[in-house]
Amino acid sequence: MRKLVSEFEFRQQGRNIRFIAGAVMIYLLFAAALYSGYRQYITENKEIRIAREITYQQWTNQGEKNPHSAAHYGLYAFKSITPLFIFDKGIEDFLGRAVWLEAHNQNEVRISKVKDQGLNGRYGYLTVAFVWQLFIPLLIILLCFDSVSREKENGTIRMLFSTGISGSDLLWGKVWACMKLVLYYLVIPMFMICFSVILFNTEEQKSSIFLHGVFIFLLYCLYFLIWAIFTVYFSTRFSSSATLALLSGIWIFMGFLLPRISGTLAGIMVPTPTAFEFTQAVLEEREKGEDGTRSYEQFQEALKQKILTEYGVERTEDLPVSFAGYSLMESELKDWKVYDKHYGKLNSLFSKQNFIITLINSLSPVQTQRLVSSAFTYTDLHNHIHFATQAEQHRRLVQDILNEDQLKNGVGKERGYLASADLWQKIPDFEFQRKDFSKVLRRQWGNLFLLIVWITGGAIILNSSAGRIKYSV
Amino acid sequence: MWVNICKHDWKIIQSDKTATFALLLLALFMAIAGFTGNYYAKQRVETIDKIRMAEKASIEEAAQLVDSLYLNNLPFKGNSHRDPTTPGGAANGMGAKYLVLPPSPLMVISVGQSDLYANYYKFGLNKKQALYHEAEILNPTVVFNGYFDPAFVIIYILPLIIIAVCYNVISSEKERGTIKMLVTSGFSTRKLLLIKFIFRFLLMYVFTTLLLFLIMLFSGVNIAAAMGEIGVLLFELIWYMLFWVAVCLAVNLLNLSSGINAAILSGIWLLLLITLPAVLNIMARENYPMPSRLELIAETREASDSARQNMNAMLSGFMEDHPELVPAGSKINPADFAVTSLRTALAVEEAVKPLEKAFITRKEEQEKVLSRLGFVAPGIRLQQVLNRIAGTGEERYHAFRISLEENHEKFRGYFARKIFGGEKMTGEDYKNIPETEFHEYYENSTRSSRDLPAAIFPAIIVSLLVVGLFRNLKEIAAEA
Repeated sequence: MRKLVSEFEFRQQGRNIRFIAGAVMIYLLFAAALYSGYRQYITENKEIRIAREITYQQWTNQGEKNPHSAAHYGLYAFKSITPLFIFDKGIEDFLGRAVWLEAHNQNEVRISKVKDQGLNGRYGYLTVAFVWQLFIPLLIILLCFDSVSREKENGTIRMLFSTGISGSDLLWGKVWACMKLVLYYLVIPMFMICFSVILFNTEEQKSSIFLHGVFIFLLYCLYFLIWAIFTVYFSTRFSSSATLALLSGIWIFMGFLLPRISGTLAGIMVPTPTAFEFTQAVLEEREKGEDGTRSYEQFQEALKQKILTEYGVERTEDLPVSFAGYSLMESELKDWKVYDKHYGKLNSLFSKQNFIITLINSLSPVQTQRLVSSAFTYTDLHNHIHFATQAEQHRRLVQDILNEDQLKNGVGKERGYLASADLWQKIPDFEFQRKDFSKVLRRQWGNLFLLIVWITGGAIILNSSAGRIKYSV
Repeated sequence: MWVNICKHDWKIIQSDKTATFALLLLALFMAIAGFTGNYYAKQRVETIDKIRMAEKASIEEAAQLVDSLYLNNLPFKGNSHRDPTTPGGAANGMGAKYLVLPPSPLMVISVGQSDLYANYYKFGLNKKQALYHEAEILNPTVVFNGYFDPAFVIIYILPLIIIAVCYNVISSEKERGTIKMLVTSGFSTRKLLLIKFIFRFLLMYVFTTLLLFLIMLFSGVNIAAAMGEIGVLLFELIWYMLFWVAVCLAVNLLNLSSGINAAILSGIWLLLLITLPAVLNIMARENYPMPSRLELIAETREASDSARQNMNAMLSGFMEDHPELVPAGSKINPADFAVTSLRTALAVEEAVKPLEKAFITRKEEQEKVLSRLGFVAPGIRLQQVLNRIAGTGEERYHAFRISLEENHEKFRGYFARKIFGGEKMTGEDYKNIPETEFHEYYENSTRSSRDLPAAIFPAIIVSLLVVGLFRNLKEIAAEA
């Protein structure tokens, strides 16, 4: 029976002008989003590749130089993007792409797209994922808002029940019909087009991209199912026009108001330090130690005493290693602790903010889906922090190699020591290693659980409504 | 007559739960938005105070320190890069100055672009921003989602409230059966309907204005000082609200059911405020693509490498090119670290100037696309206007960046002359470090005459549509 209802509804709704007009509109938006995403990916990927090649070449072509001068010259770490960006660019436009890895300073990841675009950058949210997250649910509402109420208002529901159909068959039949329409005519073709473009343009392992693609596709299917279930449920409870008005309001609230509310509240409840306070605190601690009492002079003196005792000599000139190298190494070690503390605190504040955002956004599957989708396309904040952490590890590796060279080979010459050009080759180019699928999945279990709660909750209330509907007509 | 109609309509609104709820919701949202706007505005004021205090304390401490070192004939034993007795060390250390963007009186209205761009810069000898972060430290997820400030409520939520109050003015009369009374009351239906809509518009306008004034009072806005900006705000509000009321009237005249009206109006909201801006963004980006900032990194390095390689060859040329930085008769020590880094920085700046200019030009061109097409996307235009009156718009940050160049040049020039002249810093020198000052280059923030057609155009277009749709009234009356 359920299959019959589903088949009938599928055929009927497929001819529905609302569906045809909505689908055309969505395809137009999809085409614009795909084109824009593809263009941006190709351009940015090329820019990153060229900048990376040139800056690394500049690094290796330095010629003879003091290692610490080279450390100040520094390298750049670039955040590469995956072709999944074409589908969902998440908050990537608001995140930096490159970080300067220099001596002493843990710099911010800079060069975000949005800063160069002015107010225009605020409206660059049209992606295929955006179309899927907001416009397909809207089409589902337009398809199903009167799916049951129409039968009630026309009186055809009595005829339906007289055939012996159960409430559950009727409601789930409507849900499946809606899902079939959306999947057959929109989601599957769009997925095939979009992921063909992605796979065709990837230089990475195709199997990994494919795995992400299939998983994302399945997640979206569940997401659309949530909307179909709730729309049909509302249709059993209210009149057609009330359902439409109510669901339009809910859709706007979940899609557009809630993220602003949650973000703003999180920002106010867990304030982050200002750029001024952050710099002041880091510089102060780097100069004067954690307790604010030590001076640069004291630090240098303590270092001197330590190394002299270690090697059992009385003057730095008698050391078998370069004191400049030793001092630079120790100074880096001291600074790393300061950076770890302050950046760690900052990231933990971001995590707390994100927790509040997730908590409030649990009221909306749209926002949960947005988070999950951007996580699996590597365009979320976690991926960015992961990049910043790796880049900093690379900076520290560079400092280690350079300072060690100064330590070993700069004896007697100290800052006047010039390393040969071979040294720069020893430092590998930075290659960003993204977290693999299982690690992303582990991090997203909370959001995935929320989506499952939405589906289960929806299924339960739809079933309970199915029990009542027969008696209410 | 109109008084009676308004009274009757007031009773309808009172009995209509949706309209009452919508107005209460507006009050709630405005309260949250006011709180948010005030929070960020206050934070900026407090930060500026802290900066000024720290800057003053550092200069005073440095002046005392160098004077006492000279007095006691002692060398500085700290980090040589921050030696306060050398001009290079002073500029990068205790003598650093900040350039601050002063808050505007109506900052509370819109966070605008203040979350993306720097609101203050810490100067170093060569660095224009010596802070670890380019701009304020904010969670990118929050910045991406945007803020729940009064500008957001006005642009996005107010139209929804207008829709909730006006979506069923005719259809509800039809559904309740009271339309017969209206049609047979002897008044012109058109006039009656217009009075009803104008009454609702005025009611909402007065209510919104009241809420905005409450926000301003709560935030301690100096209303007298911001009269011009407030005037623009109220003027723009009239046209924006009138536009949405006219849209509601047009949809009402389509003679459909209340639910369908609500859905159509939500669709128009979605189209005008969400979809069209996104499409415009793509158009602007496609027509005026940005140069690559990533490639600029490589170009900058190239310039810096070439400057370093040609350093000695360039010395005489440099002295001729920069007479403002090199005091007459000075003998530059080319091996001095401060001299080298300063000269490299100057060469790099010169080399990347055309590229930097290309970014600004492209950004302005993209902005122009948005401004020109503002009439099809009234939300974007209003956002530009609200940002402008709040002092958080693109023009002001552009002016801030121009001011940054000028102020930094002055700051660097002061130290450069000492570096190239081989001078030492004294306590008096610290007191003479040029003060920074922001100049409001852009036209008056209350500027609106140029924008006037863009403000009223959408409302007029929809009003014309309404006039056309008034023909449907006959059909509605006939049905009744």
